[in-house]
Amino acid sequence: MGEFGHTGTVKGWSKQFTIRLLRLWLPLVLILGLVVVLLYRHQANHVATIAKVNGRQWVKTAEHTINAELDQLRSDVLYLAEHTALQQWLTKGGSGAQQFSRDLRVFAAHRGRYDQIRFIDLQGREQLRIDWGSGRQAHLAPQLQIKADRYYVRNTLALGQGEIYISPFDLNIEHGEIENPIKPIIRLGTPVFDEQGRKRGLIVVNYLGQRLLDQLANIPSGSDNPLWLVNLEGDWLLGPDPTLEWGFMYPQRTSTRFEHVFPQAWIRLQQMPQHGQFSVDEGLFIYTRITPLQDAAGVSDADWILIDHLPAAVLAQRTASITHQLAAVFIILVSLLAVMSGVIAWAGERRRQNEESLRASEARFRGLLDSAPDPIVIVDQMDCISLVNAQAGKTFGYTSEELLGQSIEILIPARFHKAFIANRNRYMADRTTRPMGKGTQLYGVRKDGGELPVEISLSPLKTDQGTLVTIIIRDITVRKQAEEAQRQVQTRYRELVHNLPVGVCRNTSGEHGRFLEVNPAMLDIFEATSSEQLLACPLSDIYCDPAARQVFLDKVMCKGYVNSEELILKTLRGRKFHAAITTAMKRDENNNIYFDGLIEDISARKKNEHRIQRLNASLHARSVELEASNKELEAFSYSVSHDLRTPLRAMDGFSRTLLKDYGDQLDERGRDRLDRIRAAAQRMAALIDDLLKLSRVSRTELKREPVDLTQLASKVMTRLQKTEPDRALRFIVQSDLVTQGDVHLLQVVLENLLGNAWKFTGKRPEAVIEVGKEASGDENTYFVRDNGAGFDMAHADKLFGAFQRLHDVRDFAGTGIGLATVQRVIHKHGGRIWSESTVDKGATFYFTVT
Amino acid sequence: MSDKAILLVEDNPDDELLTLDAFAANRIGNKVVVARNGVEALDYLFGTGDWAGRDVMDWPAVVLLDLKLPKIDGLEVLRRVRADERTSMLPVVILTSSIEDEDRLKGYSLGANSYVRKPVDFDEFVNAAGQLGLYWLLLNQTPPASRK
Repeated sequence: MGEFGHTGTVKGWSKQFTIRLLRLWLPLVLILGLVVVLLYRHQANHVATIAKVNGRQWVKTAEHTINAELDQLRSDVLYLAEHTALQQWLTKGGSGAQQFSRDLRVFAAHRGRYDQIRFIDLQGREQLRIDWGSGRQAHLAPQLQIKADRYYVRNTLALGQGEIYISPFDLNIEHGEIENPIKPIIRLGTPVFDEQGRKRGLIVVNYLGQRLLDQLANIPSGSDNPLWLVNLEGDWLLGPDPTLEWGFMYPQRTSTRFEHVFPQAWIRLQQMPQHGQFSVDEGLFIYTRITPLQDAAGVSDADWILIDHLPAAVLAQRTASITHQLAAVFIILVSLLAVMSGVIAWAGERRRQNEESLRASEARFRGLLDSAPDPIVIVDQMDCISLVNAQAGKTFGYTSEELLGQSIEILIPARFHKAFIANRNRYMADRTTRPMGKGTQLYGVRKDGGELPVEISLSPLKTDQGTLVTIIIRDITVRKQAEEAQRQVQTRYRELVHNLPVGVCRNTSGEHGRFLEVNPAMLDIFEATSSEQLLACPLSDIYCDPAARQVFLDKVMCKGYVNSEELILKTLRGRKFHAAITTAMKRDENNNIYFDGLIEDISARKKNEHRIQRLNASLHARSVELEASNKELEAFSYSVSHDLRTPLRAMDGFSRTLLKDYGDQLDERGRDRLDRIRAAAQRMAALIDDLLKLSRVSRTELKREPVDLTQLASKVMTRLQKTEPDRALRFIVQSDLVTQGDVHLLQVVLENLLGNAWKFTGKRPEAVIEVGKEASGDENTYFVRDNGAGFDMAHADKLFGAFQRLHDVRDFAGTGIGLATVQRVIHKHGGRIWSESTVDKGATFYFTVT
Repeated sequence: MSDKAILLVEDNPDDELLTLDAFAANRIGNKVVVARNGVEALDYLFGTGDWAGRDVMDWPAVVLLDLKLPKIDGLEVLRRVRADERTSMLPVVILTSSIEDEDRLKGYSLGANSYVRKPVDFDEFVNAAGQLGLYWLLLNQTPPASRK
């Protein structure tokens, strides 16, 4: 595998790994996130709850503090109003006033919380005033003032016995100016009744509110600031910043009320019940309303709101720390999860890779198995087939599924089962790869029962499931057939060489030349008793003439072969004979020269050749003679044609002129004799003509071509009929009588046969002449039939001889040469001619033309 | 009927007599010059030998030529007649006993105007001679002689 493939694998690996990692890690991160968020919520709630609980606690503590202080103030005022010395002063006057003044001074000194304690009469005149003063000494005021116009005087005087008036919490004003440093004051008053129950005046105490404010300031609160105290108008009595406080006292501070600093909270406060808590953007607010005379009778102008404020920023700061912690934890856990996921993913990917490579190697294995040209079957120890390749199924005609799980015996013919098991057992005892059943022919059996010759080799396959056996089965049908064919070819060639009647040999040449192979014919040729004898014979011994041998060898070496080279050899017994040698020079793989050749004893042929030569010579002489005689014959024919006729013409001609010129001088007998001379001369002429025709037939060279006998016969017959147009004739000729032959000669045949037919039917009222064909075998037999005089079959053999006549010349004219000519033509064509006849019943002449 | 001569080339006296008889029987009165061999025939035709001085251009009406002749045979006579431009168009009828195909073929190929076989039957011979005379002496027009 190349570099690219490798890189690709790494890439693939890292990608797969990443996917696997993310699949594991991301859900975990998500779950962790959820947990952290929930935890955060819980913690944040917890923080808020703690703040609220604390707030509520502090507010309650403060409320108790205020209420306790106010209760103390109320009981002090009520105590002072019913003070014995005061009652005495009011009833008896004089000394009671001093007593009361003394007691009051002591009281004030002990209490230390009142700026002033006064007794004011119904007219609003101060009757007694104790100032706490700046020197922190209670003293009787020397200058009493009239306070009838003051609101607290009016409000208090309106009350009944035991009722309290509480003034608004404000700053003390001296001589029309806010006392500096500021002195927060709450005034409490109650009407004073004498023993008779008459209203005589009022007691007023100026409570130093700073004491209350200091107590409140000491109570812890949600923020670093102390709790706040706000009047119902929203003015700060105790606030986040002293510069904001007491806004209603300072005109420049009228816009620094609670509602201006915390507008949202203010709106909520207006809507909320007596006490409670709420969160707005400005923070967490826990509050309660203070109503000083809640349980006692009287009038109060001092209703306040006590507020614990936890600013949003502080709350956020508190939760932020949780966030930071949780974030830290989250990051650590996420990292841990990442590492863990990585490890798991890596392991998983490794496993997957391993599985994949296992699968790939399995696929490769399968591919290897299936690409094997031979059937391969893997069996377990129980001989069960656990794996087959495609070729196995194909060869044995099963599908792979059919084979799996079957015993291997399914592929082995039943008669070999035992041998196979024995073999297999031997193999199990000594597990080495080897062919099975060496030396014996093994067979496999197909699904259809057909057997095939096979070679089987077994090899062990060590696996986790134990040692399996790989069985490779080679179908050697084709090889067997090839071997058989090869064997047959060899046998044929061996037989061919063995059976050949000519000597076949292979030999070496040179000084030590020997025969290497000889066939039986060689033994006969060389008169050897055994092939060993012949093979042992040096080749130099079989040549008669060493010089001739050398010439022969030179020729073979030069051309590489010789063809039917004639030499005189001698047999092992020393008999000389003529041999024809055909040999070709060859070289073996070691470049040694050898010769493959044929040796023929041609002594008999040589003898025959001599005889034939002699015969040829005599034949030639004869043919020259024949030619000469043919020439003579020709000259003879010529002479006959010319010279034999001329005297006849003279005989006839002069007989005629004699008859013509001297006929009146002759008697009947003389004239008859002259007529006879003429007839004889003419007959002689006819004989000569026919003989010439016959000789011409003999001399004519045969030219074969298609001949239409039908047409030819019709033409001849027409011509014949014209010689005697008055005769009645029924001429029947078969159509399409076509043969191969010489058209002129066949015309001579038909002229003669039809001429005879015409002639011998001359005495019939109607001549019936038929020309046709009879097929017998593959030979066509033509015939010419007539209803004429016929002839006696006893003389049929003479019919075709020259000058043979079967009829009296007085009945039927003729030379007796016609049929001889016909026969000669037919024989010249290689055919036969014969006839059948009955006297007076007509005759039929048959002939064949081949 | 033309008054021109007929050249009969015939070595056999019987045949000569029979031919003359046949002419007589057909009332052919033309002068018949008889040559008894090929040499005589050529002498007559070319005005040589015994016939030296004869006007060569005075053609016979027809030459009746036998083939089998002493000295120079008929076919050779014919060949020489045709080879000489003076006589190349002379009417020559071969009158012979032979019916050999070869003779006929040679005769015609050497330029014979006609080939007639002498019949043995004298009546037929007379008939043939009559027809020959009728045709060659009466009907046939000889080519104009080209005198040079």
